[in-house]
Parts: sequence; structure tokens; C-alpha cells
Amino acid sequence: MNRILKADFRKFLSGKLFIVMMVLLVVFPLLSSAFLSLVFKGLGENFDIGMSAETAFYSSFSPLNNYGLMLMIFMIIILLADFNQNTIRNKVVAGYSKEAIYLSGTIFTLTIAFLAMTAYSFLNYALTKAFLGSAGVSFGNILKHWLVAILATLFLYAFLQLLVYSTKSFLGAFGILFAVLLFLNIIFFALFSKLGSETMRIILIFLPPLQLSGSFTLYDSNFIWMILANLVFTGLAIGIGLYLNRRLDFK
Amino acid sequence: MAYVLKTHDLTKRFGDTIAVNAVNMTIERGDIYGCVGENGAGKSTLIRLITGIAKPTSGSFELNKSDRLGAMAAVVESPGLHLSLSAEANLAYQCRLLGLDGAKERIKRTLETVGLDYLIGSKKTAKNFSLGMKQRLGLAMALIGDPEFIVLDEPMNGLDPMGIVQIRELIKSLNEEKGITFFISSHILSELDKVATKYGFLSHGKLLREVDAAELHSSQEAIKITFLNPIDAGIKALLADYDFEVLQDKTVLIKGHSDINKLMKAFIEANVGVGSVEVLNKGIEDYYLEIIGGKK
Repeated sequence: MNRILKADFRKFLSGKLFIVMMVLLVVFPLLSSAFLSLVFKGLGENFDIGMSAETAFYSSFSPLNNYGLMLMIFMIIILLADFNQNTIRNKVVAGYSKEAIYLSGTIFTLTIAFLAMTAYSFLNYALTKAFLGSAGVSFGNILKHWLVAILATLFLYAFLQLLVYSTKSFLGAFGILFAVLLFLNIIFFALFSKLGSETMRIILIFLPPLQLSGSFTLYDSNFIWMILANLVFTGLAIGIGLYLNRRLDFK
Repeated sequence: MAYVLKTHDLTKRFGDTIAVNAVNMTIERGDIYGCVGENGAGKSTLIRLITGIAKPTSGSFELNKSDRLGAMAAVVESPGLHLSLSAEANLAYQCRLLGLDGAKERIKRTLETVGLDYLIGSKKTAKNFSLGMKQRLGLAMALIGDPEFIVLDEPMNGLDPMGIVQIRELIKSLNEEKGITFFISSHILSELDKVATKYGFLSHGKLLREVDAAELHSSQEAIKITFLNPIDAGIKALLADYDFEVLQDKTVLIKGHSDINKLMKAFIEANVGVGSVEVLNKGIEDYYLEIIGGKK
């Protein structure tokens, strides 16, 4: 499995997509914070636009926003390339088990998601703080929010890999994932006004993708529960992926 | 002889369709096994099963090879290439995957073997390769791990006549010099005929027959003899040990491999006048058509 990882990471790091991802990782927060700064200055100091380094940081993890959406699409393309170019067959024929191939794919995907989203969110935080200033949330709480959000991100990418390996198509994987995220968001916010904030925060524990919406702080009393739930959900997604992968044929 | 692959009632269904139907085949070490069958006969599915790409619905197979990575290699349908990488980078990836040392020298040697050495140092990516180049690079990817058993699905596809000859010679030399066992599916029977040492004939997912190449060729030989006089009981008695068929009153067809000298000696001694002798060799194509019950 180490050899697959070594080969895949070397290929990824020498590819054009990696360069594009790195450029966007810097360009997106730079542009958005500069734009917000211009808006803020244009409106004058008495007008509160409700944006700070913290809100920018919280929304960085959203899979439906600029970099989050882009990363999701890039990862589907990268994972699918192995199927579309039939190179996954080389791994099977060489003697690797389907489990080793799936698990190495999981480690590859989650490592990239972890590093990219961490770098992006903190860069976004730092730049927005420089341009707009901070709302005064302690860095300890920022780190706690990051921990929950990054674990929810890992669940999302474990689920994404499951979809890619099961559907083996861009439209299938992206369509299902996008539809699930959209559906969850719509239902959740439709229920929000009826059930109230406290109930919804409990429901939030069991819906990792919604923790990424940027609408909630994740360092409250449910912090530990959210971490545990995200770890369990990620484990489940990987387990189901392994099970399905063993049963399904490669292309 | 030790086997490399043995299948036991290997079956693959897709819904109601049976793509591979209880196939029992044996490939011995050192064989160049030619898998013959019409389009949709199940050749590619069979290959996907024995390479582990697809899971059998029922049945099983045994692979008798060493456990090291790369002991088996395959080029199934279109070769598995990283299209954004150059030929060398593709092979370097494969070396990393197989944990091979001395990658640089190995890559150079393998590219030379498949006739792509002119791509050494080239930045041209695989997506810009011709079909023939892709086919050769696919073969190079298979060869780089020094495999014991190579599975090739339509390896001559997309190759020009010179390329076909080179790949055929390469298969023969790898088999003879390195003892590599091959499983080759092809619909170009004349090409398969030049390399295969054993055949398996597939039709509608079923393995109809397995036969050694020597046996197949021998069974396809025949001698057509036209006598000066009509065939009588005396001539028939001389041919009693042979599988023969009277075609016309003076002409007879002796099926299978026969010793012409021995036959002629017998006719001369019996004072039987022979007008003409014609040695016929029908080949694999006719054999295949006979098996599947088709007509030329």
C-alpha cells in the first residue's frame, strides 16, 4: 500500500492540477478578503457588513463555496482518472488487493483534503484578519472549530471516494454528492425556525456536512460529541466503501 | 508440466446474460495460449476475471505464480496509461508501484524492447500518442516488472504491419528466452496462428475446445489423391488404416497428417496408378469455423 501511495503522490505533486490547486488556494482568499475590504471601506466604518476573520474562517470549510467546491471537483477528477485511464487495472493485475487499493485511495484523498482545507481556511482567516480585523474569538476556539470542521471534511471526502468508486462517473459522484448537500441544507434550514437553535445544534452533531455550512460555531458544548460523531461517520463511510468495493467490479 | 492458470467452472453473469459460462481451462507454464472467439464470445470478460479486475459470479481459478508484485501483467482492452505523463514517467510510476530498483536503466531497456526508445527524454505525453504507440507502451508497462505470466487482450490492435511483426517476434522471443507464459486473445487468427502453442475456442461464453497447436495443425492437414482408374475395393483396402473420404470416382481425401512416401510406396507395390497428389492445409480459421459450426 505504501508503494501505491508513493506512486500516486509523486504523480499528483508533479501534475498540473496540483499547481492549479495551489494557485487557487492563494488566489481565492486573497481576492475575497481584498474584495470584502473594498466593500467595507466603501460602505464606511458605521456600516456593519457582518464579516470578520472568524466568519470567513467558518465559511472556508463549506463544500458549496469557491475553494471547497473546486477541491471537491478536482478530487473527483483525480480519483476518476484511475478508472477512466484504466490504470487502476495495473494495480489489480500487479497483485494489490482491492482493499489495499481502496485504502490507499482513501489515505491519498483524505490527506489532500486535510492539507488543502487546513491551509485554505487558515490563509483565509489570516488574510481576512489583516484586511477586515477580527471579532475577538480566541485562537483556542478557532482551533476547536477547525478540528470539528476538518473531521467533517474528512467524512465528506471519505463519502466522495465511496461515490467515485461505486459510480465510476463524474456525473454520478458529483451529482449525488451535490444533491445530498443541497437537500440537507434546504431541509435543515427549513426546520431551523420551527425546531429552534438548541434542537438544531443537537441534530447538527449527526449531520457532518452541515457543520461545514459556516452558519454555526463548532466549539460549543457539543464539541466532543461532534468530534466523536465525525470520526464514527468517517469510519463508517470507509467501511461501507471497502465492503462495496470488494463486491463491485473494477471497470 | 506445471500449470500457470487453471479455472474451475468459471462463470460471470450480467443480469440474465451469461458472459462466461462454466469455463474450465488450463494454461501450462511456457504456453502461448491463444484464446479465439467471435465478438462477444466472452474473451475480454474471461480476461477480466482471471486478472482479478472482475469478480466471478461462480466458479474459481488458481494462479500458480510467485507472490512478488508484477509476477503477472496484463494489457486489457485499451492499455492502462497515465495520459498526462510521458512514456518514461508512466514506466517510472509503474516501477514505484512495483517497488523496483534501478528504474532508470530498466525503463531504458524496456522502451528499447518495445521499440519506443526514441521517446527517451521526450516530454510528449501519452494522450498524444498514436494507438500503436499506446499499445507498445502498454506492453512496456506489462514487461517492466519481469512478469512470469502476461495476459494480452487484442495486442495487435492499432498496430501497422511492421508493428504486428515486431510484437509477434517479441512475444516469441520473450516466451523462448525468458520462459514467459502468455494468454493472448485475438480475432486476427492468422497472427495468433504464428505464435500460439495452444488454443482455447470460446463461443457464447463457453469454452468449446482446448487443443495443442501441433495437434490442431495435424488435424487440419489432408491429402487429395486422384487415381488413374476408378476407386475399387483394392484401393480402399490400401487406405483402410486412414480416415478417408471418396470425393469422386477417382478422387479420395485422406484426412489428418499422413506419410505420403509410405502411401506412394504402397500404391506402387500394388500397381495402382496415381494421377496427382495434393497436400492440403486448412489452418486455424477453418478449424474455428468447423467448431462453431459456421460457414466460410
